Amino acid sequence: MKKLLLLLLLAHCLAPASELFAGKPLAGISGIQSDSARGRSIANLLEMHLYNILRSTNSFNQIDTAQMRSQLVRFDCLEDSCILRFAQRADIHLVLRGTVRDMRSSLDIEIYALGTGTPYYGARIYRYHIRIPLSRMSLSTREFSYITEEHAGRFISNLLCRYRFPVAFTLQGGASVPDYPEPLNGTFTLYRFDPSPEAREPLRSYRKAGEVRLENGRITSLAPGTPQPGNGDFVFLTYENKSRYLTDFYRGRKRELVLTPWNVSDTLYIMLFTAPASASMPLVVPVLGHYARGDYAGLGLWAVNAAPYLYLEADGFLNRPQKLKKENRDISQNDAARYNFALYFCFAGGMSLFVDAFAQDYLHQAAQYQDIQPLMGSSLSAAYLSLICGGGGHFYRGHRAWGYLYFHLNNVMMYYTLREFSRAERYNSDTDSYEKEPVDKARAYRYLGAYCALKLIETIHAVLLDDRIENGELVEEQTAITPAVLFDPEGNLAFGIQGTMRF
Amino acid sequence: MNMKRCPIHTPGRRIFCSAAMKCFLVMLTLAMNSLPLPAEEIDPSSTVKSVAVFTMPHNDPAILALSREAAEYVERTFDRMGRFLPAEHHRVQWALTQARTGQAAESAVSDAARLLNTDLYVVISVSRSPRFSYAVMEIRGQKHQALRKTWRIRSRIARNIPLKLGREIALFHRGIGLSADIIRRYDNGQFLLNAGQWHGLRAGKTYQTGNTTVTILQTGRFISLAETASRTADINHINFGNSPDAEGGAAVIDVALERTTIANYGLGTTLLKHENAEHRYIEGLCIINPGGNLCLPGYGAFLATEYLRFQNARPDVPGIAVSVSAFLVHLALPSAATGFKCNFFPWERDSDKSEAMQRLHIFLWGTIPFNFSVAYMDQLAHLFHTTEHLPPFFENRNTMAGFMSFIIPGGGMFYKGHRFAGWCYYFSELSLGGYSVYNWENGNRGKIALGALGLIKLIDILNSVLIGPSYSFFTAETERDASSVSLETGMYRTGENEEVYSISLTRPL
Repeated sequence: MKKLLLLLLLAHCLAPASELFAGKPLAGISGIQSDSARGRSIANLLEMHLYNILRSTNSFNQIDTAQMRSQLVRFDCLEDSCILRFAQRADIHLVLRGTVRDMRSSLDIEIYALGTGTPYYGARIYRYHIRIPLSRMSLSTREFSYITEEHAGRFISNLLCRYRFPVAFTLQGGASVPDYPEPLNGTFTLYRFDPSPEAREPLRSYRKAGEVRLENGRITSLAPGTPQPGNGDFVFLTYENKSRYLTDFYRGRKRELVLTPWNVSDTLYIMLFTAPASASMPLVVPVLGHYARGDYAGLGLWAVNAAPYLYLEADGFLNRPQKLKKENRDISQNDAARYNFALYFCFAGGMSLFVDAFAQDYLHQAAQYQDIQPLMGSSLSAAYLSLICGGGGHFYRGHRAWGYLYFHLNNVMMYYTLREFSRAERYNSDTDSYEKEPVDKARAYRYLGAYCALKLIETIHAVLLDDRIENGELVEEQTAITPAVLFDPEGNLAFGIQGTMRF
Repeated sequence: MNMKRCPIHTPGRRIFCSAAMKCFLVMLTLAMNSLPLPAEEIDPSSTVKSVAVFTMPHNDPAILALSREAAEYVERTFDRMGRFLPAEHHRVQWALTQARTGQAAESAVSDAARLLNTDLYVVISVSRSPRFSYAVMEIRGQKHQALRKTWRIRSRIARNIPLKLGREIALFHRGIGLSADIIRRYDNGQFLLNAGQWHGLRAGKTYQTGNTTVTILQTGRFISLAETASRTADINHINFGNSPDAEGGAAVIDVALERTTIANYGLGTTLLKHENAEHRYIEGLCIINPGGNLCLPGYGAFLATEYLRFQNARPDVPGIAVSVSAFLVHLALPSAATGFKCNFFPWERDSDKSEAMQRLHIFLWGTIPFNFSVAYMDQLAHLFHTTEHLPPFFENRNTMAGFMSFIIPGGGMFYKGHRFAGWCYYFSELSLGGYSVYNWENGNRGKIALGALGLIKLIDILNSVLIGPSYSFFTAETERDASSVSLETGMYRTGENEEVYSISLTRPL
């Protein structure tokens, strides 16, 4: 009986795939390699989450990860070339692989997917490489699980956005129907293989044959010029909707885990705290903000970027109009503008740098799942901060480069607008009084209009941006542009620039 | 010579028709590992150029582990470069078992390479002395007999050995253009190439190769389907010419090398392992050192370095002498210039102190904190050199050096260990500053001097950003010894327990 079963199985083994099996694509995780004990446990978590997330999409048949890995290890089949051979033979359409490298202070995670059959023929579909900093964070199994789930979710989501699965048409009762277990709906591009190379060849070329409309797995219409789909013609099934769903789901879930729910009172607290925070910024931000939190890049940026405005603020207060009046000195338009700017920067303008000093740290902790962060993640607060100080909303969201851009734009525009509205005063020794000089109101309102437009753009931009709570840093090393010096076939030197894209 | 064909793993001739059978079928199909491919089918990975990596056997388990790690990294680098596909482990093991019987390791490796029929093979031999780990890596060409290249590298950090070998492999790929063979032709003029996505080819892209235009229709991982506008009957292979990004690959490895080296020598991972090294460094510079220097100018800077927990630290006496001399200039130059007649304090002006002299006096006293900081950084640079440690923030050393030069004259140069250059910038900037202040109301002299100071400051910042660190223990790990003649002596034990004493003079070409 055992022999019979084995023979039956063997017969199945040797039968061509297309005759036996039509269904969802088959996916397998061939194991995540690691180089340390900590890496091994993280690799296990990653495998588990990849498997579960893939299953949650309900788009794939899956092979048990542990079984597949143990067999591949047993037969020392660990290279891409061997695994691809195995996957092609076993009709596994999608193979997920990866490595976790423990760099002591960080983890390097690389995951990639290989596809077999049309249209990939073994090619790498997507590669995801992330570096997760680990220093000065208390990360337990709970946090590591969340972190690996987040990356697995992002990987699967990006993979699904790219993945295409061919569904062939078969003739059933004289009608062509897509050979897929679930009814297909929608308009699809129809493809047809070129007659040569033949079906048994390792690669085949195909061309667009037209468009078909399917409803409940039946052809309802063909675009003009489209031939009737024949045996072997196919359409590509895409997974973009599921990819979007996964992206939204994991983004929303992370916000729930690490940020407080939307709350108006938080914005009110920020409003109340604006003036003291802005006024104390020159002392609090470098010492209690950047330095105490170990944000040295932030400290350097603060020193370089805040210096000119702090000078203007100090100069404005030291040479304030009241003091100049006591000394019977003329008050120039610049003196008045500097004083007004000093008032603005003292009670509102400095708030953006205050926000930067603390938001960076809060968001970094949120990215590493270190408890729920208070006051963060509110669009209303972002809008308020954008309105009252330059780049405040962007700093609040964690976008430092944007924040500094708007910070400088805002302050420069604010200074010149205040300058246009400020009136110079000349001391008249005859009357022992000050005479105010007129201002060009039309010009001043033009400046005000430009400033309001800037604030509108800044506020909308800040509200539309997402909070930077993604874990890890994406390692961008897939593309490179380098100068090239080559010999052409005739032996002549050829100079140029080459772009390289790694897969 | 036994030229048996190596069995190719072909597990998995199976279709999963039900979820319940999947696992069993996987095991079953994997077990059928020697099932040959049908004659008409092509195993794409077997058509591409390949390389086998061997390690020399050794009795020391630590060296054996390092050899394996090095071999894996070298294979990974070959894989990343996309020109020579590393032979699969099980095939290498099979070839070694076939070849090893009764032979010396050297000849067993060359026999195994012949059995595998790879284009290249690499032999890695690792050894250790009390201070260094050594590796000798040799690449030999089987199909290109002329190719034979050897690298000898050494490192004080064992983890760097695989990385250094990997970097050499990455750079070995410089200029190796993509050349693909036509392995099958079809009736419609299309043909199959033994180069695919792994080599950098992209489906839908057209390549100009000499007089021929090749369009890639489909790419697999290792093969491609292509067509040309002209006849290809008389062409057997196509030179695409595009080289792998060897420099980019080496740059990635350089980053990893730096990371392990900083982890090995950095203050934060050694002396201040359980403390916040960055905080201590800043506190030392801004709080401890000014206090120390106020109590004891010059030597106080050395005492302040104790805050970073250096062990068996000794001061650099010439450095202290220079900083004390400079401090005395700051303190007493105006007095000395007026024959010690003017008031000692800058805020007091008398008939012997002109307005220009008072400005200079205020400037010199006002810049005493720079003297304290420079004295401290000089002592630190000396201690980093002698105790072989790297300062905090060294991962971002260029930014940090630029910032230090921005706030302290010559600060960035001291940070990177260039003490003499640091003192030069310090004296230049202070002198120009003093001259500018003294001559501020003397025509344009003061302004011109200020302009020159700005220029020197800019050069100081740029120089400190662009210059490499001078810590030899760091540069020895991260830089390639590609330009100098080096004399090396070695004493190590080979895999056969043979003592080897070596002396070599190396001049890279």
